[in-house]
Amino acid sequence: MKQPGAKDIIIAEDVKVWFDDFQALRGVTTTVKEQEVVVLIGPSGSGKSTFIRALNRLEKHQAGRVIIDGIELTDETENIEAIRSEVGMVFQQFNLYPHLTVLENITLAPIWVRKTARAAAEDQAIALLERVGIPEQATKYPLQLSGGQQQRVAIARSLAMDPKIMLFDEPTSALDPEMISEVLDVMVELAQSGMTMVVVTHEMQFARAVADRVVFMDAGFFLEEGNPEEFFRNAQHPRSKEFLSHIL
Amino acid sequence: MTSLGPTESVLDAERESPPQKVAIGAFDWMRKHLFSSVFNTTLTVIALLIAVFVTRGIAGFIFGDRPKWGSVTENMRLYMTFGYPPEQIFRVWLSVGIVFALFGLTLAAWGGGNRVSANRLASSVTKLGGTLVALALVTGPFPILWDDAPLSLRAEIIMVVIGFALGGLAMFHKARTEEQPERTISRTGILAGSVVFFIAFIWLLQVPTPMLDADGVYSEPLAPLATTTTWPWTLMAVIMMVFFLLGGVFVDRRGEERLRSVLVASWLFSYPLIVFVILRAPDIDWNQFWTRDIWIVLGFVVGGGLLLLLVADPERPERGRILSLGTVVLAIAMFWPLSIGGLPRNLMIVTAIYMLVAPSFAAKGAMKRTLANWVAVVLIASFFMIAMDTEMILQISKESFLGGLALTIILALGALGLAFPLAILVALGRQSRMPIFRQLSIGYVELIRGVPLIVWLIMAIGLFGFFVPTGVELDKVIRVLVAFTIFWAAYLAENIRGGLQAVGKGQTEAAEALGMTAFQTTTLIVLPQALRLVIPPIVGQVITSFKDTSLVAIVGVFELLNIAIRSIPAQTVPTSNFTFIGTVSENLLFVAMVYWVFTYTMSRSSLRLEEKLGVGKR
Repeated sequence: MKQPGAKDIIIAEDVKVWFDDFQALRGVTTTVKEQEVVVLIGPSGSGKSTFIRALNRLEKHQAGRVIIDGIELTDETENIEAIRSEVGMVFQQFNLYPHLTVLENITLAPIWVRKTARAAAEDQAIALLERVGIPEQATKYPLQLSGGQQQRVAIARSLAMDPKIMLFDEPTSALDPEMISEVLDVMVELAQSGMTMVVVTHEMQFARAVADRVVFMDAGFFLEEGNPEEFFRNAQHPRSKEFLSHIL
Repeated sequence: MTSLGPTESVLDAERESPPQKVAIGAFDWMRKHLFSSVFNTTLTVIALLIAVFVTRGIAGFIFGDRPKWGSVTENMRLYMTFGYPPEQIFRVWLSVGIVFALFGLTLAAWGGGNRVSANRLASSVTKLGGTLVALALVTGPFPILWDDAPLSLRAEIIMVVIGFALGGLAMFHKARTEEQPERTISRTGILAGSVVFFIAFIWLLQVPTPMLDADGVYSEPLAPLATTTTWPWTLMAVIMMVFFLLGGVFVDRRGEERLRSVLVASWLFSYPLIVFVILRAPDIDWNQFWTRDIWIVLGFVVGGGLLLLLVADPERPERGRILSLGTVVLAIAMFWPLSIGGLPRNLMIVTAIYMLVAPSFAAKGAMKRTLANWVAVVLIASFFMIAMDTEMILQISKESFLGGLALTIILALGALGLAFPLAILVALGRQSRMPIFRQLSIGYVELIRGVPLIVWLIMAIGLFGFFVPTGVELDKVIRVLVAFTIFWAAYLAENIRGGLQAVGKGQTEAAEALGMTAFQTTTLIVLPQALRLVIPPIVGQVITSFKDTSLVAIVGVFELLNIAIRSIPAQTVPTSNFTFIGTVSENLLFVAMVYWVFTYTMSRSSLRLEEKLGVGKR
């Protein structure tokens, strides 16, 4: 979690994104400090996913600036690849590679992007699987695992690149209730270890436990932000109040 | 009051086994499925009659007196290798030996440890025996017996005996294993059995063999099929078995993965080795090699290696890109305006391709390995380039040193092998975000698919001269190979595109989010999944392509079909008035059987490949 005096690791200045003619982000300005945990909430279509996907160029911002760890995201392929290897991402549908084993899923990027030696990459992968609690699944294929296990593998896969920032795009939305907590436990541990995290989720217990800041988004804007206790107890913006009345 | 389900102890208790299936007798089965009503009975009888008549017709022809099967058996060498010089025939056997050895290793690497259910094996053997018996019965020994045809009678008796023997053996085995339904037989055992069966088959099976006595009277007494080749074929079968066992030992010591990667490379490498070095037999000019070629090769090894260090330097990607682009420009410039030909130009092309790909795959920690790969690529490429650019040792009377079944296989494998990477490029081009690649790919597919294959083949022979610079002379076989490659690539590309579209967008995003380059994402994530998905249509395409090689018969290339319909029916036996003229039908039947054996094997192995890769149960 955030330490006082930490430097800004994500800087977004007036970020705007269009899908064809539809404006999904209508000017978002914010900064995230090192080791800070930010939770984004909001109704569907509010631009949460678009915003975090703009942070590693899975969506291109047509206006504004995004600066990650001192490097500005531009059209330069080298820049984009450099930033992506520093920024881990976890998806709602896990997106594990079905043709590779769990171990190969985790070691692929370190071997080919970081050029780590295979043996070293495998040792690291085993250590990560232990960290997320499923070392015994290393030789299985993703589709042989439960949803919760798959998502934990996906987290391990991102961590294998030693990212400075982790982005989570609704990591528990595709899971059965029984499996949500096993994924959240891993995320809480990650937050406590000092990882900078931007998380799109509606898991309020997670936000309460580790978030430094909760941001409410709607219609492509940051409408309200504050620390989780305060926000959930006493939201100000009418849209936030209405949204919270649906989910709390 | 709420009603509760079973208690804890019931929940934890063992679950019931499914109800027993009631076995149904053969008689009941027939009544239920074949004779359940008057209408169905009529249908059954009609279908049976048709089956009997058709089978009798075909079998009657095969075992009748009219066909001269001698025209097939006598021409085995022609069918297999066409005009290949008999004194150099050891080159053919060497090639077959390499293929059999690799095949044995492949069996060991993929499924050597597998065990096959004894029951399943028994039932397939029973089916085979039953088919043979049924065939013999339907043909009916009696009418032919009255025709006083001892040859046919013997053939049929042999078939009946084999059929009963196989069926009986299988039944016996099944009865014995009924008590242990889990009983399995190792693949080693099955393979050894097949090898023994094969050897017995070539030594014992008798077929009509043409004979002319001193008075020029023709007869077809029975003789072993492989009269002159029994020993070589026995050796081949033994080689396969030996390499299978060696492969098993290797797998036990070092594991399957190691053997598999070696094998994939060996198969790829074996094709040019067999075609261009063993069969083509280049007469390499060692003097020129030591005084000139070796320096060119060494120059590329050292120069390219140094260049590689700069191109793959991760600290200076900008410089690397400019340098690799420079090699491409230089390679193109060697065609024009420099017009430098031969080894330097060809090696420059290899260099350009390597430099384009290297930055994505060169590893910082593994620079040594990248350099070693480079040296190996240059040496292997130069070896083949020099071999292909040299006159042959062979003295051949025909247009090409390739012909017959050998040509059919080499043509199909070569064109498919070249069409495959081309098809992948075209399929990726159609998915490209850049309009120029997309339009080029669409144009290519639509243009090639829009014209019949036969037209492309005739154009390859007749119009080729207009498309290449004057002075370039290409063998007919090479021309049709190019035509096939271009044509098949268009169809394969469409199949592969289907697979590419089926791979979810999430897969690319996950790879990109980890910082992988577009090239890495495509080759490591998208293509492996896409190709797995399209194995069934691709196998269909491969089978069609294999059969389509017979179309080259009409442009005068002597592969399997052309030999059957042109060469043999025009043969006359020297110093007699006897001829094979007009023996088209028997040769056609033989050729049809050869095609069928190959395509059936392909479709069976593709089924096993699908099972292995888990296609369809994702």
